[in-house]
Amino acid sequence: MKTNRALRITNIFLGLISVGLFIYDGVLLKRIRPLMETWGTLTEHDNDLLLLFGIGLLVLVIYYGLSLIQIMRVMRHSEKLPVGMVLIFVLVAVAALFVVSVVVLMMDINNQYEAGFAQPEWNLVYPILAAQMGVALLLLILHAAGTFTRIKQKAIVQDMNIFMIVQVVGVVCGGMGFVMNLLGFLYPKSWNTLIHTVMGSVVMLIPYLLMVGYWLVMKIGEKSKNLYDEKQTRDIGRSAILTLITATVLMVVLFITQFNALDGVVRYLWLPLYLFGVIFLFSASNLFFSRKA
Amino acid sequence: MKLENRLRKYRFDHDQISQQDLANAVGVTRLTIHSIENSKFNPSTLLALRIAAFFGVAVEDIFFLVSENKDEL
Repeated sequence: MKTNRALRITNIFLGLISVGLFIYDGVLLKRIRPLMETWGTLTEHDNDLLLLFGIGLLVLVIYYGLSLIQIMRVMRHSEKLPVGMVLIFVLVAVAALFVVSVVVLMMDINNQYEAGFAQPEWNLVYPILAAQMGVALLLLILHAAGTFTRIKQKAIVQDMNIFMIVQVVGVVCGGMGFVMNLLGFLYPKSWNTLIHTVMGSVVMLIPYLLMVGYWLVMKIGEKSKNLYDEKQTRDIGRSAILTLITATVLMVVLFITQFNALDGVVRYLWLPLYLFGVIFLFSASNLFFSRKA
Repeated sequence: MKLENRLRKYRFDHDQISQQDLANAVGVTRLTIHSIENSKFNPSTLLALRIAAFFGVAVEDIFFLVSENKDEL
């Protein structure tokens, strides 16, 4: 309970800072954008102000991270998995992933500016920042209202909720990672292996890996010595066979359709496509089989 | 042949114990108990024995076979 209260106060504090920094971002970008679009000179002072913009994004990531931990702590001990809470969890997780997209967009804008090119990416930065501010505000209101500290909690021996949340995160990260890498086929010429494939994939994998790690740590702390109970073991078995068959078919289709272009983007995109496809399929089928009772 | 059970009845006769409390007592998740009650999942022998021991009855009192067509049993 004490930890929950401490988390709540910290999150309210971080939420207020984040919202304040969003207002700062709005004022700063209003000044910087016309300057960069006309290839004006950025002063040392402008660069310092942009540094604070970056720090603001870091604060936002910490705010989202701590909020996710608090939501998980509440959901873990809920008797039934609260659907509304799961939706908020997914929303915050997706918003956290999109913080990276802001960083990538700002890097692209800077590169275009230095090369003397137009910067159409500005049109994406504003809606993403506006959506981020919406999520940060919503979280702040929920934290202030004590939504994440009021749920009736019950002792459990074998956890079910975190297992389900891992699957939800798997569906989100797997799906987003798969779609993201699929874009490489649509825009092969502007595809950057290091930024889009490697960095993008790592960013999409981190929340899933963190969730699996959290679930493992919680499992070790539980009274039960089994990682899964027997129904979960059966469900995982079904999911595994479904994933194996579907992933094999998908990879064969990918190979056949790309047969004449195997030295193209598919040369390095096959791995992330396979990885995220498997995470998505396995998590989605686990969710399906778990709830089918 | 299909495995059916009287788990819900035993839970209610047992001070209306919740699915979560029963799950805690036998070391499984609440969803597993829920699935067993709805005959969507057949428990292992070990789990069936644990459940029976929890209620202090024989396994056959809770779990029983029913025929799915007239030729069986």
